[in-house]
Amino acid sequence: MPVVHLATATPKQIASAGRVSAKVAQQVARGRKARPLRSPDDLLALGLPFGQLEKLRRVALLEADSRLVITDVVPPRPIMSEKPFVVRVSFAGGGESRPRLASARVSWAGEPFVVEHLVEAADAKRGAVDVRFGAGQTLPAGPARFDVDLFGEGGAQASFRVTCLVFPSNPLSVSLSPNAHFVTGTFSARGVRDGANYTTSINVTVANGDSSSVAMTGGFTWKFWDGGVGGSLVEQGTGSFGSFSVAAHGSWGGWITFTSPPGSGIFNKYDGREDMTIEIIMNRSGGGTVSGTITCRTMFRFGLNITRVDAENWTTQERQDLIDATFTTRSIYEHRDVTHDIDRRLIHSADSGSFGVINSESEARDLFEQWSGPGNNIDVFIVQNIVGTGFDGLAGDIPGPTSHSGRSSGVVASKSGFVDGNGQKRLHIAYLGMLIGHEVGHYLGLAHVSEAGNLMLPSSGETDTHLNYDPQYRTIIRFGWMRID
Amino acid sequence: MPERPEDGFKLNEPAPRIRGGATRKSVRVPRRELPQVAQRERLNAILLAHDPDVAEENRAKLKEADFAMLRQVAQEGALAGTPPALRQNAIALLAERPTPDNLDVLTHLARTGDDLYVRGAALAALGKTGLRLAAPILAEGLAARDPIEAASAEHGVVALGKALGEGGLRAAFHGEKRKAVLDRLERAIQRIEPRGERAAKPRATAGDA
Repeated sequence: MPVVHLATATPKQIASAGRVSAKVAQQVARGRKARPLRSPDDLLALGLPFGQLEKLRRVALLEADSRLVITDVVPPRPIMSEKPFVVRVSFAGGGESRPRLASARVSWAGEPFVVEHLVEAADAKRGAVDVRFGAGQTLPAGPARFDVDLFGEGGAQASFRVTCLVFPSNPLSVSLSPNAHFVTGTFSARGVRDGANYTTSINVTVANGDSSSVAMTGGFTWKFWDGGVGGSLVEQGTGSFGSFSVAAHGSWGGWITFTSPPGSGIFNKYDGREDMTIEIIMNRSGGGTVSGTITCRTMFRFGLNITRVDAENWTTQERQDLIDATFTTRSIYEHRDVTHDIDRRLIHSADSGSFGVINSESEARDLFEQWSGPGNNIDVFIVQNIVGTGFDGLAGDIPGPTSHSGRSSGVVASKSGFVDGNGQKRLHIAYLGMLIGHEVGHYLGLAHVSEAGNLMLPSSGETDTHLNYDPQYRTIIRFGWMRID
Repeated sequence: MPERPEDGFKLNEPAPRIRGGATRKSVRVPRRELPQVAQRERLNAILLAHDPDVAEENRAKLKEADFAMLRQVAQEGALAGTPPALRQNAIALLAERPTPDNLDVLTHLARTGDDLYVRGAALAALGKTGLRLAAPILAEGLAARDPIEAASAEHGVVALGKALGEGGLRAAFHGEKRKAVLDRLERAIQRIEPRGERAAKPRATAGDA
């Protein structure tokens, strides 16, 4: 992340981080000799061209600035399963910043938890604080996401998200996840009706926690169990990826698709709405095996018409960010075993009228009334911004109607846009994915709750993505447009 | 245990098998040692209102002492990595109390905010103050090259018009010569009093290739 201290940076550093011309960088360096650059006012007084000033504002820290920026979050050494570890938070701050607390929220295979660490004077001086995870906070092999907040005196806050792989200490592991690029973790794989058959696709990740590479034969045995591994065996077989090796402190990934015709054991279990456990056992070249498991099941699903409003004023990057945000939304629901299909829609700028930027509930309802998409899908309108209201989303009703007419037939969300330090228009993917999920949750019948970490908190943040089984899952699956494979 | 209603299939909530169990103990620093962190967390919950009714309730939770921190949040910038909604809702709330300090921040952000969304939020907020002194800043917003920023300014002008009336609004923009600004001003004036126009029938969104 580009960031520059204007009080001390060389003209070259200013030009590079701020992406401004050498002439402007020199002007800043000269200007600060005449008048210290303490506040935006001082920067404004330099008389820079607006575009150049705007670029500098995005990356510059000033002398009277109490803002904080997290520049990186990284474990200084690989995180090994079942071992204490450290996550280093590197940061920068304006001349009057006083970092006080680093707070790391960990999302992993189990329930999220938080580890906090006070920032000492020595940490502030070196611009980094180590958050230590002790024997009570070790993690199993697999992916772990760290959402880190750094708080300062006066209320400054900076946020940063990073996902790390926890390497196996034993030293090899196999982890399985649903086969789609938008999901990771240990939740269920999905049995999908594909013509007459059911198909089940999974990703296989082999992680190596050793300091030397491990050779694998590539051959594997698969088993579908009813009632967990060691219960009743539904079906089994073998396959091969072809031989491969896993680098030291590295990982290897592959995928498997199972096709189950009518009459097969797996088909019958899916058709009976029963869940199963898939076990994959892989062979090391030098002998020995390693295995992983995942639950699989059919899922309820619904449909969304994701509609970009004022379409011609979206950049290609913003369109991609919206796609990624909707994958985040899907991942939130698939964690609770409900999935959705997406029909991507748009309203041209010429037809959007004032709906590109809306500023009242009434205007949002006008949008629901005047526009709709096809099919038994919920209309989700993503607008350029919602301004002057204090809210950033709205659902037509709880639950919403199973029709496309009237002033309640849809949800709207601000696209959560910003311009990054490189001058590129972006959407806050994690937040927007959560926001769409929250408003769609209302439409599916969910009211606000007070359960920590829940998607339906009145002010849920990007890490509040949990949906409970009872009553939320049970409410969702009764929505009129819900279907099952 | 309450009886579960019939779903038509088995409810087997999957539970990952994890060595040491699926929970880990959180290690938190008590907030009594960090009152400003506690205040910031409280403000975050107020600012991240997703729905109109919540926004309304949250407004009532604001205390006078919160506004200094609200100004801080409003000026945080994308560098901080926090959601844009946090900054933009802080900006909107500053307009609720148009003190000199709050107006200073809104004016700065409307003129030199670090991106078009921040400037747009500040322009809309300035209009909501209903203060005539917002007019020249809104005029610059109406002239913005970016259509989203200009549209936000137009919302600000509509809000200002509701406070000043059409005559007052025209007087506030007296002397304005730029065609783009005047065109948007006229459009805003049309929107001060909704004419109750509705589309004859719902229109269909287009496929997004």
